Amino acid sequence: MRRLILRRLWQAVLVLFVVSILSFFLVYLSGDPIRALVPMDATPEDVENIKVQFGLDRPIPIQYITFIKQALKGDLGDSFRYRQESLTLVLQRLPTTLLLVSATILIAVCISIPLGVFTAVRKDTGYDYWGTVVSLVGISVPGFWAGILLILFFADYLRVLPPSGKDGLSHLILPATANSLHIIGLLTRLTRSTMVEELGKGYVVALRSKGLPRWMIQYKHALKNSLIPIVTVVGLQFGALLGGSVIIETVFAWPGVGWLLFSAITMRDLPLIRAAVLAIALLFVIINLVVDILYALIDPKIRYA
Amino acid sequence: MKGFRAKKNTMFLLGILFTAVVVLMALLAGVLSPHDYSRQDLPNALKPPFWADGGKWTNPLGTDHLGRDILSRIFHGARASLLVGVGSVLIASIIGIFLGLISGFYGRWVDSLIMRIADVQLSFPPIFLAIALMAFIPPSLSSLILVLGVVTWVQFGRVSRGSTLSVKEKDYVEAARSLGTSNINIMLRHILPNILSPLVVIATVSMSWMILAEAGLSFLGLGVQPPTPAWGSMLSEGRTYFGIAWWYATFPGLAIFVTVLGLNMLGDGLRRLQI
Repeated sequence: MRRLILRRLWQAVLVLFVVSILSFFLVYLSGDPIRALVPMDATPEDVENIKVQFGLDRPIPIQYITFIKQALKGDLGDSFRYRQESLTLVLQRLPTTLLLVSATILIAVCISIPLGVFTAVRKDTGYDYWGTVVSLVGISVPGFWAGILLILFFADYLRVLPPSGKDGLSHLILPATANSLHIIGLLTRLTRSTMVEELGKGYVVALRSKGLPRWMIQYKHALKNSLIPIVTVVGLQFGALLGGSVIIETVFAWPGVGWLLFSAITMRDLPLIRAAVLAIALLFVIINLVVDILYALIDPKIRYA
Repeated sequence: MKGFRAKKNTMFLLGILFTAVVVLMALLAGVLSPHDYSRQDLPNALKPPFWADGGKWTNPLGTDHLGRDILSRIFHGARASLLVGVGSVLIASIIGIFLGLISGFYGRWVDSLIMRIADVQLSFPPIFLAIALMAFIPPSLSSLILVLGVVTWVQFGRVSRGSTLSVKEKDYVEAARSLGTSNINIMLRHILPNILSPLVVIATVSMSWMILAEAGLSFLGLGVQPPTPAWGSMLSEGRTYFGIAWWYATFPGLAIFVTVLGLNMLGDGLRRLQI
């Protein structure tokens, strides 16, 4: 177990190294790194200050080391728009994004797992067919379009839910629902296919011949054994949702990192974009590490592999 | 059971139909469009579709805030979507197949190196990588195609590698090797044709993802730039007016949805055919 944790930690360090190189070179992609890091209205003195602060007048390897030193101190430059430390701005918004992502996952799991089990048990029937249609629609519908339609219907037409902002639980319902459609599609499919596989195994026949109630076989035994791939996908989707939060947060003016990143993109606020990208990337690395270690704790097959 | 299979086949046929309609829309946009997609007509701005009060047959799906015909813009938007879909899938598959072939064929450190790179890239969702890159690169159609291709090669790479590992053990590869065929020839003439079939399914499903990603990036202003019409940017503009003009954001979104749904149904059907 300790060896596995050490190996995963080593991999995480490797990924972090790549992330640091990429985020360093991101500003070079824009053409002129100095122009990227100073506001449009900067004076020649400001340009000089930034050059010295980030060491942009020195060779690239030295610049990279300077960047790492600054980043380790939490200094990724000030946002042009907010005139504040970029990293602080990002960290302030992070809990709001995590709240939206968690609500999304909760809705998706509550709908898709029962639906997946329901269709698996009724394999090759009309119910199964409609379950397939629902999951295909979920996978195909663009979340941001669904978001706009939900606002049109529930906020504009029925006026029962707020269209945007973050003032309470009611503000969370529409963005989390729009965000969850894709995962509902994915998880329903996955739950169905893994459950179909489990229900065809010998132990299910044995349990049935013992006279165990059907619901107990389905939920207590078969579903429990199907959970590992489902948990894997939920873990992966948590990361994907963080990355995709930019679009849905923009639609609902949800004040998280995604929306901050969007406003930074529209303002060409490159220090803030870099800080947001780096923070989200770091979060991915941590989530992947935790999920990997959790699997090893849950499943001895992974632990001893 | 029989009815169920027939229904699944109907879905496959619907997938072919939807995809064919979108391809035709893109190819014949110039002929089908009732108006010039960029012609502004401010007195006619934000007119509703023909069936709503105040709508006219001349603009069947209504007009946008500059009085441009939404239907014509949707037809032309299909070009951008398909171009991005096909172009980025081509790039992703070329990178993925190339690296997957080399990785599976040569094994050892080449395989370890390429697969570690793939692992690192897989730590991040492709949409996040695409947003991060496009935020810094000056946005254009070609940079979008390139970025989407680069961030999604891993799936093609992994599948090509896996198939190469099994195909390279086959007798006919051994026979080619004993005849003195060069490694490049073995890879291109004997292995590549035999690993293509699972990649076709991945390509179809990837294309639907690329079209969704393009729409999302254009929605954020990081994709196709005005005045070129793209469904994502139309949706983004329409969002500002959805309180007074529901049709503006609804129809471009519907176009994205139908295209992606069609490709997914097609991919599903192809997968079943292979099984």
